[in-house]
Amino acid sequence: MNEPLSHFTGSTPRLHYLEWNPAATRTIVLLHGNSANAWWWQPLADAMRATDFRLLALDQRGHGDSEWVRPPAYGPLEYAHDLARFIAQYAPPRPFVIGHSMGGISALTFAAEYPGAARAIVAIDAAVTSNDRRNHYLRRLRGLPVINYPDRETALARFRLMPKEGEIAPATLRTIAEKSLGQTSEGRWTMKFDRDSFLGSDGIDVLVAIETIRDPLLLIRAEHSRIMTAEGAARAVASNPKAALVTIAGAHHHVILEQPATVARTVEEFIASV
Amino acid sequence: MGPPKIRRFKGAGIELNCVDYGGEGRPPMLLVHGGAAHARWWDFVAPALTGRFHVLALDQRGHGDSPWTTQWAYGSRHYAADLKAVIGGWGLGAPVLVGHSMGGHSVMVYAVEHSERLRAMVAIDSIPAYPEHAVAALAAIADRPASAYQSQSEAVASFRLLPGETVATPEVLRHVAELSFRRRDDGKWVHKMDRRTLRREPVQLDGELARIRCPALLIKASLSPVLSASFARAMAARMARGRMIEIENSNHHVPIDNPSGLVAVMMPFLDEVAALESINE
Repeated sequence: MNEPLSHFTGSTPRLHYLEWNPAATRTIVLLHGNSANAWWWQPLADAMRATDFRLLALDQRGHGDSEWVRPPAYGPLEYAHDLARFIAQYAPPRPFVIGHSMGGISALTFAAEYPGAARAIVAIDAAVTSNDRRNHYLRRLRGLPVINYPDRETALARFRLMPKEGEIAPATLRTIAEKSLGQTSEGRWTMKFDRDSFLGSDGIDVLVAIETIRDPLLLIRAEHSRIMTAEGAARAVASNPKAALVTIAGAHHHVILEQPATVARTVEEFIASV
Repeated sequence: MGPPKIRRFKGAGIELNCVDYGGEGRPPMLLVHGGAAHARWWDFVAPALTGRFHVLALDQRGHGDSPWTTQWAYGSRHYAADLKAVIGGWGLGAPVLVGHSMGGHSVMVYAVEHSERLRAMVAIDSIPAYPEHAVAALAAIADRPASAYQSQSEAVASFRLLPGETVATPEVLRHVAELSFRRRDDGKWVHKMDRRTLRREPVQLDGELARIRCPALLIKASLSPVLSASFARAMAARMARGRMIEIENSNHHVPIDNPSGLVAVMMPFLDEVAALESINE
């Protein structure tokens, strides 16, 4: 697909979003993961074969070009209510909703909180259970110093994904890096997301939400992921007769960047089956 | 609406301020406000209930017009001990105990141990356990010095809710804001709350909810940032006689966000409790 259009909402917090294929009849709303942004969906947008999908990728609060929230308020419910407001104002009713990682948690929470508000839900490699190891990891991420660089080139060269896994095409990574950097008030370059967003999903047990969802639901798990465990995914899918699970072979957590074509085919097949 | 009647009750080693909204002779109902709030948050809810109940609203220790403790004593166990002392000593009999947010947490802590002393309990947008990061975030606010304002209007203008989102009308917000500050001896206006109350020490109730045996209603605010519908339903399912209901058009601050809606969702539950009691009698 082509370069997306860029828009801002009039809501509080003010949210930025990207739009591909504005004239298409069916709509998919896309939710990125923690510390990421809407541009993470460009590879999937490029890989979609079906051209009758309008894609709306939201920068979730505290991410990308969307507003930060003070005091910090970055729980799954906050993202879910943002999504509900966004759909009510900027999307047709009952779109498909797809989220990756933390965005998957947002999507699942949204589906549990607003039954029937989405046509169907896809959660890609989202952590479904909370445990001490994950909470410790999130707190450690929050505690890392905010690193900034004197110039854009250095910042681009130092850009890494977390977790550092999988084979991502260098050009893809470069594009993501370019869209992830912003300037500080002193003119230095840094990642433009609110570090406080790491703590929002601490202690959240997504299995409870998954169990109650009554809309069609697809869980996509990356085979080598340590975020969405095989055991967690199996428990999730067993808890809900409406849920299906697809595991993408050879993939890691950042599967939407690593294997966008496989994700696109999986999503297209699921949507055709709904 | 004139200012309601004020009473004092013995808490656990502390005299607590209590607003008496009237309805004497009827079954008692005790309203318990949330963190950083005070009894008068119920001003828009209580008058609609006095036809059925003798309605009282407590200022919890460190809040509203109740005193502060010398040493920090603001854990959930302290608030629950106050409820035990008040209900045990007031001579009004078993109440319907209603708590909002942190007040609902106190109510659940009390109900776990003393369900037999309750007619029923209602917890409004309350969670059984606080995530560690939330406790840490509140503790960070507790450590900041309290602001002092030159005038009441300056203090009221500074008034903010936490979490920040609300659909309360400006008039309602202004009312609770005006009652949130007091004039200090030096003439400056300060928040009535002891900031040390933000240093929370919640009882982790996750595994305890099954011990709540009285009729229990859990109310979830439709726009709540803390309590999801699925989690609320699971909580209610764990209580022996629990149920969950969602209130529309409300952020977390239900008693001021949607007071008439709150009364409307509580009424069928209270009717049912009364009906069951008349059968049992």
